[in-house]
Amino acid sequence: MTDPISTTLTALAAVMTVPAALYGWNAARSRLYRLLPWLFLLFAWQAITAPNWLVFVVFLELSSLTLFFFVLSKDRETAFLYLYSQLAGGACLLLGTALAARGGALPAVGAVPPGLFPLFVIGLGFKAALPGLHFWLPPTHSKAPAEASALLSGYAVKMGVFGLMRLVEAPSPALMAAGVVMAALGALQAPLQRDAKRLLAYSTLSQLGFIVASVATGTEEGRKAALLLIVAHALAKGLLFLTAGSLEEAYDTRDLGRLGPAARDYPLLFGLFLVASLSLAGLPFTVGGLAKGAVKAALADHALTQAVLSAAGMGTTMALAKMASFGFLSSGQRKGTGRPRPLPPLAWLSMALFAAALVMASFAALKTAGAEVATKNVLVDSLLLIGAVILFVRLPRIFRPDRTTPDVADLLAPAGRMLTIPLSRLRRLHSGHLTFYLALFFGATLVVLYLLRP
Amino acid sequence: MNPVLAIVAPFLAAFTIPLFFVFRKKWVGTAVILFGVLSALTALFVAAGGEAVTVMGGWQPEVGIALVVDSLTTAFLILASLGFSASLSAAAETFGYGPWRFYVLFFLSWAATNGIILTGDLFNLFVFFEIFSVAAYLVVAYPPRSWQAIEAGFKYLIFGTVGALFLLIGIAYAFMATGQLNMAILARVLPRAPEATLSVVIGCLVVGLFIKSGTVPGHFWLPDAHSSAQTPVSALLSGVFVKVSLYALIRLAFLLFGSADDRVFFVLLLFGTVTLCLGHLMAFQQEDIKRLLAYSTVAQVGTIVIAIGCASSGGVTAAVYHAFNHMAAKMGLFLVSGVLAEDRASRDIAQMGGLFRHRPLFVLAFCLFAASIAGIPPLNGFMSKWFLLVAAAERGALIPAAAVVAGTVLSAAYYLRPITAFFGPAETEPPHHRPHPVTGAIVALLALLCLVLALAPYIGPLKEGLLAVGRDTVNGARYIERVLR
Amino acid sequence: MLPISYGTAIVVFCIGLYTILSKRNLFKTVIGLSLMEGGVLMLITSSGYVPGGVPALLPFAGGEPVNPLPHSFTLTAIVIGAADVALALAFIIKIHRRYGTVDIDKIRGLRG
Repeated sequence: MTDPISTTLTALAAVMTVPAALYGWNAARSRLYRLLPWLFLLFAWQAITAPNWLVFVVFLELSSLTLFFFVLSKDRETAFLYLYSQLAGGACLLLGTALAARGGALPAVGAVPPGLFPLFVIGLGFKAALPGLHFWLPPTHSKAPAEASALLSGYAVKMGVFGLMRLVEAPSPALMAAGVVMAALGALQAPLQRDAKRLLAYSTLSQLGFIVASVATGTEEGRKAALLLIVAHALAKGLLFLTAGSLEEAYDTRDLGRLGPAARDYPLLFGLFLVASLSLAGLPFTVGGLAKGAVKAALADHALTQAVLSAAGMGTTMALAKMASFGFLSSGQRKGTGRPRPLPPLAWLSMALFAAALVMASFAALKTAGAEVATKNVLVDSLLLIGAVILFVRLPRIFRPDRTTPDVADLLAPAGRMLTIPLSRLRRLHSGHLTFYLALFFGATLVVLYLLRP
Repeated sequence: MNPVLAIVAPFLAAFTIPLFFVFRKKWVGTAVILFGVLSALTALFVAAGGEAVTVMGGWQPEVGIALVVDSLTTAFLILASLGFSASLSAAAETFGYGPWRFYVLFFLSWAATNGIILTGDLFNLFVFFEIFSVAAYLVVAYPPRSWQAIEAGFKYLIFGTVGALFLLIGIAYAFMATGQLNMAILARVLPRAPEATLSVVIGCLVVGLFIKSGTVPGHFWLPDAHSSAQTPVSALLSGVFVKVSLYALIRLAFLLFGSADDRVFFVLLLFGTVTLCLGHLMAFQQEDIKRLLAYSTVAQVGTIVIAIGCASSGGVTAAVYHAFNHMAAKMGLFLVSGVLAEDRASRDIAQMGGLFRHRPLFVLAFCLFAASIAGIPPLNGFMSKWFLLVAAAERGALIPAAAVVAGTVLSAAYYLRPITAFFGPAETEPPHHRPHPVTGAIVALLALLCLVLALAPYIGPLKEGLLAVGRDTVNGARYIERVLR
Repeated sequence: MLPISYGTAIVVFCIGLYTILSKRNLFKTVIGLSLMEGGVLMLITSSGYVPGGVPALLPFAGGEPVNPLPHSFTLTAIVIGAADVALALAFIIKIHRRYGTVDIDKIRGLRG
């Protein structure tokens, strides 16, 4: 299938992968690790251009698997969490595909029978981190290697959104609500994080909320706006994750409370960060600002959604302001000793590539949108942006990086403990008592005979 | 080739090996290998010979014992000869040729297995099942030195005997109701029996086969037997023995039970789902690597039973395909874990650190097999699961299908535990390092088989063959016509 | 005649079942198994019964013979059963050597 969506996403995959691969080139533990981004690219292309849902699911799984190996190289527990969540999503999708294939050909990537719509949304929800199913996203994004985080946040979650774009052909209020919740949740959480990459992860969640809400309109306009925002977010967030990774590389910490005056040590890095974050925050005339404008235009009929999304946009701005302030500008609370480590040239090159792509995308988007659209809401958007920064400056107590916030992921451990009780019961069933086994068997025989009664 | 040769060849081996031991001790090893090759080749030739019906002694099928070769038989004959050959080679390396008694039992079970697959007579099926089981109890308990082996063998024996009793009751009732034992004729006349009789017959046969195949609640012997037996035997148990019982279930389900409308298939779906869930959940909690693999086998048996319960040609295709995939992968897993456990002198997963550096190829093969069993695309396990899902969807069996896909996540979780351990750090160097060239070669071949099976849906003849198995098996009338001509 | 022999078979089968489920001695478990098997074999044998039939033995005296097929099944099944029981007893001897007991509740090293 070729249409603007798949063409754009195909190109985006390449644009995302090249810098990510370059960034990880030196850090790779072995040559095999250097292959991973290219494998991801290959699988992503196959998934985006898949003719039917089965092929899509298979390559989606394979792309998740390559990212799993990526994450595995740094943090095992997180990698497993990621793998299980992605497999669960894939399982739902596979089940849905099988049910849709009932009595006929494989279902093409597109709308499915209404009964199966929830199943597909849940399956894609694991990938696209719909609220409740997003439990894997913050830990995975924060603990993966920077280039993997860039791919994850920039592209992997977007593949789930791509599925949603194909799936939703009529307005879906439930999905719209999910998008709004996501945007609000991410925007609330992001400014409160102390881990730089976790902050970016929640900001990803918030941006995904924008995209999902836009997709949920089910209109062509909504899809186009979502596509633009996907591109804008992918490039900006890819660059942001690489800068965050560079900070970690240089100072050995992601803790915003401990990071020092990076802007003094690496002015260029701060410049790159500013380029990306201004676009992400939605500065007018950048691709991010244009995309947000397009999303709001697509949501013209949904005033409440628009309002929440505007507020969420302020949350994003505040989060980025926090990262700038504590990560780059704060006056040296850093506990570490010695000079920061120099960054390898390839890292600079890859970040420069992202920045260049971002600037080019901005120009292209401006040209396509035209001056009228671009200037329509300049005043309001700028006011929101400045307001958010002022709020951030006026309320320093809220944003101090010395606290952690609760999330769904915290429920995983208690849920796991709760599950062990029935599991150990089941285990006690296999007690080794032969008589008990036989009694159970004879009981089951009676059940079988009862079920078979005429 | 006359199908009976496939049964005679292993029997010949079983009965002449003691003679070799008594008169020409030095020839035992050669004899074992030659008989192994002979038995495998005979079975494969019979399978390759195409469809055939032979009635023993030249009687009419009503009186004599018919041996039937059709596509389902062919598939399982191939499966059995692959599995037995692999296990025999591994056993020859592990045990040497000293324990000739083991090889007698081994060939006995081989002969009985081929008998079960080939026979067209219900009572004959029972007899072969019993020969097969008696040999199986003993190979599980071989060598009878460890308490685990003896306890497992005893429990298997009690369970197996109870299962055989139920099979016998079912067969007896069928005979009493119709006066016939030939399966083709029974398929014709059994539906005329009173409804209640039919229910009892089917119920008893199904329950008996549940025990033999290790379906819940007849599965209790299975983890004990698999984990206590020697490595080649565990591989054989999981790869072939369980599948033979499932073959009988497929055969009887579509020939005899098909008449009892959907109730019996509902029972299969129900118990298959329970088996699947229980197997996965129990495997999740195991510390012992072989027990983990054993419970995983329980889960895979459940998967195949679900596939049979779909009551369609697609379901049978999925069942046979999955049986092959599970045979290849699980035999490989058992062989690899046997080697690794021997190196560590422990089967505890927590003790398995540092084995990747120790035996990288074996561990990589383990990963491949595990991924295949878990159903990671695009490996063979995924392919057969997809076939199964489509069949279940056609049947409208939503809950079993959901259980199958949920099983993927769970099995990934529990297979990652030993794999993590393998790649993890080691406290001490593994003490043993005996070379295992034969086992290594077999593991490599099984891995290759996994890859070939993964491509099976794309290889014309293989795909056609698989689909033909489903089509022919479901079509009971065709079988009846061919046997009775 | 026939209901009585069927009834006997069922009663014997149930006695065997009861023995298996209630007794803790391994020997009694095996005895229970044999009893159950005996019940099933009685069932099969009586199914060959023909009212007023004569034994199907050569030389054939005339009259209507009973169905000999179940008899041959029974013989086969008896042989198989004997093998099972012999094997079970051999296992019990081994178990007794290892565990020092034949109490079924204590033979549970394999569990979980």
